[in-house]
Amino acid sequence: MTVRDGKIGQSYTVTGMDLAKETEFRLQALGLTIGTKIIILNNKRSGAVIFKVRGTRLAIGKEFAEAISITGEA
Amino acid sequence: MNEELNVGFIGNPNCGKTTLFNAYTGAKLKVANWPGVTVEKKEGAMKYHDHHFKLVDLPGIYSLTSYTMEEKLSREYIMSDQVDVIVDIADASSLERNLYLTLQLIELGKPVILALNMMDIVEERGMEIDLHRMPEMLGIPVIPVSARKKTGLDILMHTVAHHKKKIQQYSYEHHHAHLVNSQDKRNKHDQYVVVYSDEIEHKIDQLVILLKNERPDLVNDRWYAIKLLEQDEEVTRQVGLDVSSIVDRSYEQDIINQKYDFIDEVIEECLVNKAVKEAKTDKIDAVLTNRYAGIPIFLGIMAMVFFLTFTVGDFLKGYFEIFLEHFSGGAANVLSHIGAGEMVSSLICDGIIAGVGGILTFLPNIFILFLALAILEDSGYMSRVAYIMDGLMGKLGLSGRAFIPMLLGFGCSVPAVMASRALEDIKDRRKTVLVTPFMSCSARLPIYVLFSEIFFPDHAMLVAYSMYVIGLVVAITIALIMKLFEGKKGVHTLLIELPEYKTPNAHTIFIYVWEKVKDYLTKAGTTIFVASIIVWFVLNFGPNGMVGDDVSGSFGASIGRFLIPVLAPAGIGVWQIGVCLISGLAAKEVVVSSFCVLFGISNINSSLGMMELKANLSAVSFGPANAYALMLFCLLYTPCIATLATVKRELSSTKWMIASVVLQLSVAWGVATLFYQIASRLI
Amino acid sequence: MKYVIPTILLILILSYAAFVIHRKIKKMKAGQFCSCGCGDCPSSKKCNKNYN
Repeated sequence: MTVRDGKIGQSYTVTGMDLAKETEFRLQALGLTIGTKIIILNNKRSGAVIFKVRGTRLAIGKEFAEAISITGEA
Repeated sequence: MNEELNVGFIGNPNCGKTTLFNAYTGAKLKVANWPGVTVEKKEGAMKYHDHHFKLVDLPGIYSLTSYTMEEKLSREYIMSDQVDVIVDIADASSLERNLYLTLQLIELGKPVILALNMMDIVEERGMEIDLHRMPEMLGIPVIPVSARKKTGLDILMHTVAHHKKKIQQYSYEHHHAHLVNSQDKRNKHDQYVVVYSDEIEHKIDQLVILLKNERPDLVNDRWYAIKLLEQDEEVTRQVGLDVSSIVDRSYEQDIINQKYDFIDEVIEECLVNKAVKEAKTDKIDAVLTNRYAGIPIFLGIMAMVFFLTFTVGDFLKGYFEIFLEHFSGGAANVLSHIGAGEMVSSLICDGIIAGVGGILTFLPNIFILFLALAILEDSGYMSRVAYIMDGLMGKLGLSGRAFIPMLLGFGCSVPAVMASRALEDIKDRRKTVLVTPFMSCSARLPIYVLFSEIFFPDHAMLVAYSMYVIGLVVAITIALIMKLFEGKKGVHTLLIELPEYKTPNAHTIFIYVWEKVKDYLTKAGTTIFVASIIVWFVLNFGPNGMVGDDVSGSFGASIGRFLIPVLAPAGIGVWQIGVCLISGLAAKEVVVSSFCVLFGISNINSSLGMMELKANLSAVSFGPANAYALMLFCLLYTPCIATLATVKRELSSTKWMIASVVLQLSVAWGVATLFYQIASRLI
Repeated sequence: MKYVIPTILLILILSYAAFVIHRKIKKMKAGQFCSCGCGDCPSSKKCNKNYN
């Protein structure tokens, strides 16, 4: 599943990204590396998502949210 | 010891770097949570005991790659010999991500000091940081500070003064049990903060040997080796060697991951009681960024801002008006006493005092507007706005981030246009720059206040608010039309950090608002002063010399009359208005000043002044519909020269600046005419 | 005698105006277009760095 499908309040682990290299590195510089845990804080119908990673709150648009894969955590 | 030290301030956006910078330099620079504003390099100077420091505030960046201009600029600056010591400012309350930049800075090999800012928040939240262990692990001094509470500032500077030329002050102590066997590894750990996996370290060794041989001129080979492994464009080009046998692929991802692994270790050991009280920001966000309530709440907040601008502003305005009355009366007396001729008297009273005084009475409104914006800014709400508007912006082919420059446009178009630099795609930037001037800047506010109070006395506030809404609507429409023309493509996706909410800091806000007030006053004393004289001249002199009471023989009248056929369909085919509109090129406030000068009304904001203006205008059958059309025209037409110059500079093209002018004139004329033609038939 | 003071006033006003215009043009040429007082405009350095 992708970040877009995430449910508010749930934790997930990042498994992969399918974006332009530059974008991937930017996100990684922000702490979004493979294997990191994130918590979904908010999402909208238009696809934008707010989540927390390594203590930082990020808001991303639909295209990014759809390109970051995650798995659920119990 | 009387040396001069060059100190660079660097850190993530929103870490309080600029507040800290201000605290030292007293330079009163702009402090904002908005990303993309602090793009320029700011310099300041300070003295600490016998030392002279030259402080440079570098742009807020997340990492030192070479992907964005800010990063490249910072990296270049640090690598050059212009910097002696780097102060890396990190938000202690969200340490993990901030440390990523720290590690990169350390690897650069220059003297770095880590300043943990916002320690007051750390305390509040019940977090604890092991300030003894951290320097041990990072090998650099770690100084706790609070820019807001002004604690730790002296100690930081003291450390800076003594840190020049020291690269490793502490010996590293890491607990890597699994590496105890390898002496080689242990050596590496003694020398470097971040040690990578065996595979990568091996490649680094190979590259270092290569660099020593082929490029002995380069200092800090390890850093170059790491960058080469990341396949960093700039470095690869600069080094100019073929390293493809070693660098078989990009190791950037691995390197980033491993840095973060180390950060995990550091956090593990140094951070106790990771914040439990963070929930507050999230609770607030749950409401403010709610998918249904988000936009209505935002509009509500904006409405409240304008409400305050009017009511509180008007309250304060009363005092200004009284003062102006006395002043202009007194001046007239003094002038007749000293026997000033009619011309000089008129220049001073009907020209300068009317023009400048008239605009000064609007200061309270402007003050409240900027105060409200500053509070929203400092609290951290503004970045949420980018998220809230992202859906809508997406339909216009822009990311939510483009909304921030547009919102800034409510204050002043110049920084708003400059803020569009935050957008990376040139097409997005262009679109934003063309659309932003439609967001009614604060200089146009006096026009609305004046005309809505004269012609719509019972609904003045609503009418003025409608101007802002229409500006927004027009901006959105234009963006939409532009999107239809440009077709597909373009990555406009939103990516923005949402900082913690915080109680707006009184000091920060005061500085910001005071800056704006000062600038307003300066503008009044310079641009408006001169513009009023010019307008006075143009209106009081004609081909036959000075005209008396019959102003219609003046140069101004001729110019204005020339425009009548064009302006008539929009309901503003009055030569006086033509002149005033042209004067608006200097600064939008001058439009109101020109009215004052034109009709010789010195206190246009008072009820007497307004009645006079209304009477004058009614004499040329100027009624509410015309007034509204005029306001629409003023809302949309060409902005002041300063904005035009900024547009030209940001888009690096005169062609686009002209396009902007043409666009705004046509839209202004179109909308005003459309409105007037319909409205005048309905009434 | 009557006209001395007003004349002085006039000269003062006009020279001040000229001074302001001169300064503005200098600033414009140097690339500082801070009309509404962008606090971002550094006082000594120009805003002229071309980021493209």
